[in-house]
Amino acid sequence: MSLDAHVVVAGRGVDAEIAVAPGETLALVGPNGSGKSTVLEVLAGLTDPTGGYAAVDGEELWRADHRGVRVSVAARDRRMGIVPQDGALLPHLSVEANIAYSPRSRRTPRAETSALARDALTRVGLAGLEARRPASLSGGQARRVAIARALASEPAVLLLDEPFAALDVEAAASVRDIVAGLTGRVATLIATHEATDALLLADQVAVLDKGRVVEQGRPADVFAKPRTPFAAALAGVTRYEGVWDGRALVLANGSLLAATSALAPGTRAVAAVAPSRMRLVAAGSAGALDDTVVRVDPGSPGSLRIMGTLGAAEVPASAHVPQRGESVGFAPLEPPEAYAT
Amino acid sequence: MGARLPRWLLAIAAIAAVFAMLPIAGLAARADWAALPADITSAATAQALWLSVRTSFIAALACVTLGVPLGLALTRLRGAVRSIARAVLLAPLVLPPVVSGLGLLYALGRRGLLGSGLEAAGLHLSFTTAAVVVAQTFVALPFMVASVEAAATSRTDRAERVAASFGASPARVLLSVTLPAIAPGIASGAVLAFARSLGEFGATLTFAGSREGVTRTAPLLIYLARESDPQVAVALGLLLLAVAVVIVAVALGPMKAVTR
Repeated sequence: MSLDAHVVVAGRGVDAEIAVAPGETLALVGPNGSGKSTVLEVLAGLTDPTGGYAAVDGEELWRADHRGVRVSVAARDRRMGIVPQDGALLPHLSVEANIAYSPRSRRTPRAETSALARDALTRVGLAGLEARRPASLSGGQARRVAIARALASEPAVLLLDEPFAALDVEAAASVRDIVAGLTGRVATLIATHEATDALLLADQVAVLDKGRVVEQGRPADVFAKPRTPFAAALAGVTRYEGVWDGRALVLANGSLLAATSALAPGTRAVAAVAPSRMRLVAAGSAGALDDTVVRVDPGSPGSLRIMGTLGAAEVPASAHVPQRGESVGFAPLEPPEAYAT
Repeated sequence: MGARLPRWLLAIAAIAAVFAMLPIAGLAARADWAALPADITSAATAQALWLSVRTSFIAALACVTLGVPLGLALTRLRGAVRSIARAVLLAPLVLPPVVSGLGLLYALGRRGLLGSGLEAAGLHLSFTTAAVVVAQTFVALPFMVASVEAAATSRTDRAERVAASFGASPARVLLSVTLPAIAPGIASGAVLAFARSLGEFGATLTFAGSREGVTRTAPLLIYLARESDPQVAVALGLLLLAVAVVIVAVALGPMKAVTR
């Protein structure tokens, strides 16, 4: 099934249009407070919208205007399988009863719901925990039970709110495997603050900044060639903005960044390079971008990130680390592609 | 534990504690402890006590049945409407019970607002055991309403909305999410309602009278016996006191869980 929605929640500054094609996965990527959870909660009916609409397969679920929300399909009939970040399992019910909650609500006979629940529990790798109470589960187990509950509800759209957040590395990895196994079957929305989640799991990505979609497209395109500084920051790449002169990108301070491009010389262009794909060289080196060190940050494990006014590069922590104010050169390992924005 | 309290405050607290326990000491001092078992188990006392327990239990059940929906409905009101509705519904808490009894008499009594209709339907309410239950329910209901309202407003409706998103009907959401979540509040409300019913005197006397074996509950018997047979009044008083202490101890346990 497909989902089309325009979610507006005035009080939270959310105004986001999204679309998910049948069987595809859309990642809503943005930092905390960007409104991605709100979008999911509105779709599931946990939060009331103040404007917009939602439709599944073209059938309107609700439409809101200044007079309020006109509901065409009640929340209980929308089949939005939400996996809230906190799980929101019912504490007094067993794991099995929690998973069977939706089929039981739809009057599926108890014998069948039990089999459904066991099946869903097996799919999330927790067979045998049927009788446990939510309070006795670890964070990762609770998250997986919440996923099983959403699966057992046979959702038209699966809504995963930060499915890997607040879990230890091992638990996050196992939930990631489960989610990877689910995508491609049912239209899925994943809210996440990690660009890598979108790259690994999603067909489409929508980058959310302060409640608005600022960029969308295929994850590889959006994060390899981010058009906004915001998306570049999420992707962890440095954005070099300048004018394409036919051989290199001329940056604001006049220094040159070697690049490739099919653009006509004289066009404003951008190149994106991850700090790990930049080398630190002596100032004035040929093909390097001359810059001054502003800050030294922790980089990927075992390395430091040298931040200049324009560029950034990662060096091994054991290497010579330049001081603040020192002149350095940044040279790309391979010339990036300059593209128009 | 909290920070240390000043000594003068502890001194006042000690005086207050003595004041609060003085009547208990008074009863205990006046009691004829040797005759106590016999006094408590005498036919009239046992009858009154059993009537009190029976009617209070039914009144507590009635408070659960009526008070839970009322308390939950109250949480759906907003602003001034809610404040006014709450004030009216909780008024019996501070109303002199005799006034409550009078009100009940003029509403449900033989010549009351609805009484003549009930009478025509063959329902004689005033001065029956049912009238005792009605009086107790009326004065005890606010405890349940306040308890349920407090328990319900201390939480969000997020769990309810999640349940609805998984296809639950409003009735299923109520039974599977809301009621389990506010169960401690309902329990403490029920225990307090039972305790209040057990001690009910004014409204019962006014609306139900003091017919031996029919409407003469333990508090009514104590009042009646205080001159003719003070020893029995004291014995029964001590027994009610013991029951009250046990009930409050039980009731405040779950209440703590709700307010936390």
